Amino acid sequence: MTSILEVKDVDVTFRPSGLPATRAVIGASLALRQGTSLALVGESGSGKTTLARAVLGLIPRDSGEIKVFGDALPKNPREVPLAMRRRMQPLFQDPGASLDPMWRVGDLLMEAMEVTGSVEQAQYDAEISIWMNALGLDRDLLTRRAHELSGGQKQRMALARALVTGAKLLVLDEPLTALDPPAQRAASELLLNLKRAHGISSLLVSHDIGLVRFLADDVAVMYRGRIVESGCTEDVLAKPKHPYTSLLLASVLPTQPLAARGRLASLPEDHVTEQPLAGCAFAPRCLHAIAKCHIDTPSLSAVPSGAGHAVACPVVV
Amino acid sequence: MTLLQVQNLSVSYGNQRVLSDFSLTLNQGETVALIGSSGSGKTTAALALLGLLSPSARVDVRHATFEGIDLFPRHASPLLGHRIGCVFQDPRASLTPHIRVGDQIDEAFEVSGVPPADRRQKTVLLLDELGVPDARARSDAYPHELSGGLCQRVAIAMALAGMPACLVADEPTTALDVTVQIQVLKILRRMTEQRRVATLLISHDMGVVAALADRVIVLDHGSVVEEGTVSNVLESPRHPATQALLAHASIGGRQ
Repeated sequence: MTSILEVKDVDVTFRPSGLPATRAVIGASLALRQGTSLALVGESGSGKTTLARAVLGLIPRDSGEIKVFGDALPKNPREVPLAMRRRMQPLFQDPGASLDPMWRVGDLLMEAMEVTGSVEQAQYDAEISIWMNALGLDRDLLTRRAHELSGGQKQRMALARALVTGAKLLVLDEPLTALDPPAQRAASELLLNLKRAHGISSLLVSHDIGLVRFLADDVAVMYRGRIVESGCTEDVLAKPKHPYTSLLLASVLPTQPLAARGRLASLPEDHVTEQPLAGCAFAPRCLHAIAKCHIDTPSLSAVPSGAGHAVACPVVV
Repeated sequence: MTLLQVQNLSVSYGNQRVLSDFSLTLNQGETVALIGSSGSGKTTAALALLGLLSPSARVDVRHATFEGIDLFPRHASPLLGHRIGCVFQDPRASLTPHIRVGDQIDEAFEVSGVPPADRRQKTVLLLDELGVPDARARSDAYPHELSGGLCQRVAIAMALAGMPACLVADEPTTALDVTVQIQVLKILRRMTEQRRVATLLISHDMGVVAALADRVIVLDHGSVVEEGTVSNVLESPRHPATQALLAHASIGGRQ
């Protein structure tokens, strides 16, 4: 299957004036297959949103290659051609932030089609109908403004705005976090339907393991800027190898009270520490760390017998 | 021992009723969770009890007492900061950006009448108890210099400095990473077990509710639609609104 997004050895460093530089993404590589969803998971500050923004061509990268639909993405965001931007659309956490509060949402959809030239003007109405239907939105909503919609409706309208542009690749950054559980459920099912019925691929940034399990075909786990484990969702979530991935998955509490209490009591006291100067960034928190973990930075290597499953930890392989 | 007792609390804005006949009993050392989708009235119920609703809200109540003292019409606001502590979702919003976190906790001790000479030591001890590494040095930090998890511990420290009998925790871990959430939940669990603090927990994360709550009250469109022990409500939910809340948690088979 062809990759519609290829990321190779990408580094992103932030250099705020007067402050020390931060290496937000270090040597990240990944590939997103057409019609699938790849999830980036990890805690805040792990670099997952930064990597997603580099893929969108919104921030400059220091080195490495990014190819979108086979075309090389320029390093400088100013040089990214409009034609490339049209083919990938972002959906951010705050659904209202993507919708201009002054505009009726129907006009926002029209503008998106006009700017990107995705369909002929005569087809605007038909195109809107297709996506409003697919997303379960009533056409009456088109005359409303963003503040007249519920959180779930705003998020679906932001999705409609992304889809009328004809984009086949969505970059979803925490798409459900701002919604309550019933709306989350509905939105997860919509996203799955977009993938299955409409062939929409997505790069999903999330720390909602439930959503990742539900939607993503592949997962890359990031910690302090590096991808520490990757593979198909089933392998990574059912047979996690990296100690950080294991901790992350164990921290998702079950909804059965006895099991949740038992889990809470069994998880160790743990302090997020400063970034170490050398070695594996997770080593200071790791229960399995050995001497060399504090000296050498491990690189991703294949897990024996795991198809495409790779992990950056010398202790567990 | 019953700490907080509320009967038939209703809140309206103009003609719109956002909370109808809400009743609650909270005992010492007990955690009661209010759950419901956005707009169901769970935060409104808590803010009404705390006297933190906007003046345009109309509050009606048949009976509301905290430690035997009538809450209305004065609300609970005179009790805030000592008998009742609050922890909110965004830890940085609870902290003043230009004051060192240790000084903010000192101020909470001052409100509860701790003499100045003892405050700094108590602050460091409390941060230490809450698992803040290198507590003495960290108490000199400004909020922006601390991670979200550490800021939330500082906010919990401020709430606990008044030696409260009751904590109101509104989505206390929603803004935190799951691994950090575990640490904050361990703290809240320890506070109820060791200090016998009662907690009114508001959350839409069913895993958090499962781990902390003894009893659960489900709100939907301003009315209580289901209540019971945590195992009854989460393991055999009866009302469709409760079932909908639990549905997302199960989509990915969240273990």
